[in-house]
Amino acid sequence: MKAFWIASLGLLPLVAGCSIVTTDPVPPRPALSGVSAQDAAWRSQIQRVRGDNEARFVPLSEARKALAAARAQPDVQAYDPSSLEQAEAALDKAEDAWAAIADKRRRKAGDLAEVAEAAHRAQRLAEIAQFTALREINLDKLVAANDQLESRRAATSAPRDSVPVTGAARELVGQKLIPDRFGDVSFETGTARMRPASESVIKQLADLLQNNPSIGVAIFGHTDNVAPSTQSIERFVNANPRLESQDPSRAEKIKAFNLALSAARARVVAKLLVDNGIAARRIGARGFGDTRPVAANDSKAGRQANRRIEAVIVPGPDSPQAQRARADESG
Amino acid sequence: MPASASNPGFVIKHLIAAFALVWITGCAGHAFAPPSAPDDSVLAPAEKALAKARAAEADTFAPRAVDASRRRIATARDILFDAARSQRELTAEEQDRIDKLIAAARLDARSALVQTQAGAVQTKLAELQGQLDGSGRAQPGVSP
Repeated sequence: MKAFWIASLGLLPLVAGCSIVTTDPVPPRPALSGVSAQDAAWRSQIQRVRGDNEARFVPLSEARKALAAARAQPDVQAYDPSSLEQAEAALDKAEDAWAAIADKRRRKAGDLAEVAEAAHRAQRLAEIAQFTALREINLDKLVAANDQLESRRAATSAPRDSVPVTGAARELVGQKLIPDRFGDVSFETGTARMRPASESVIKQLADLLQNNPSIGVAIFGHTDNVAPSTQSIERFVNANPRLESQDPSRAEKIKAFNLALSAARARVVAKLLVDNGIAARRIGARGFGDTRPVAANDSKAGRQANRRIEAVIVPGPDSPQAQRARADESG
Repeated sequence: MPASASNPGFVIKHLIAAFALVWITGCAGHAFAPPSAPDDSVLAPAEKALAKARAAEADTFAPRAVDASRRRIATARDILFDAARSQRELTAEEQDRIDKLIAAARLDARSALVQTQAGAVQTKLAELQGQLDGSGRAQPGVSP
């Protein structure tokens, strides 16, 4: 009997688990909560300058340092003046708030928090201004270095034999094979995902290019002027830091979105041609956004006509015309 | 006759008593409902900004700013959970502090992202200049 009771009592906590193992979605309170830790951390940032006994608040010193670095950054006024301006305003606020409590023996946590928050804001905005300018300056240098490298490569590579465009190929030059001969290329709304039905159109163009090695093709992407969803625009702007920093209007954002979308669609077509065995150097791709409509955008049919891909046959990159054009361009 | 384990009536009686005890003990706990998880969607803008910075490798280029952002989000979450633990609404002061922490965490993340982008461009530029130089090695003194 005794064994029965021992077994029952032993099982009791297990069976009663419905109360014991209930999952608590709120974790237990940490020993030192984040708020008190932050207050304590700020207090520990007050230092005394040896000699004159003047109090010094580290976050404020760091903010001053960051702002000085931002001001010293070349072209910061050209690339991100608004962040710099906001940083200066935040630092002024932090300096004023600190001046009011610097000489006090006991400082309220709230007052210290005000200084720390304004100083933090000043520091981060100054960093944003400084590194935005640095990024943009180096981006320009990067483009220049890339161009220099490309032209050096072109100059050192062996000159190719001239391949004149003759016979039937000559007849093709200037023709808009998409959509005039092979039909339309269409994409899912608001994306650069091509509809599967259009792949056969690209295949026909690839076959033609393969049979005529002396010609190339220029792919042009166009959109209508319909605004995409606000969410799509925001995603697009966020993904393009240079555009974001220019603080564009909604109309400018829509224009930029359509331009990027049309270019992306043209590149998708170009990539599919490459996948079908056409050399990349025979293909050019460019987007025009909604700047070159072929119909009015006020009707469904008009908008559909404006959303299009055009493929125009051009002389190939090794044709005498292309070689002449390159020579003219390089000076 | 004394009661014994061989008596079936005795065993059943004790089994019922034991199960009743278990039932009462087990379910008494439910009288004190655990606090429900707080709505932490208020943290989302900062978490999103931090995720964006980290996706751009900010952990490598701006680890201090990333840490600062993460710490502020954790502090804001701590305030939210503290109120939930006490099963009460946030006070105006707590709400204000959370708002400030989230704004500050977003700034940390923005700064981390810009520092990362600047670092990435600088690295790529140094690499290209190394190629132009003919050494093929990155040039260290690229920053202005």
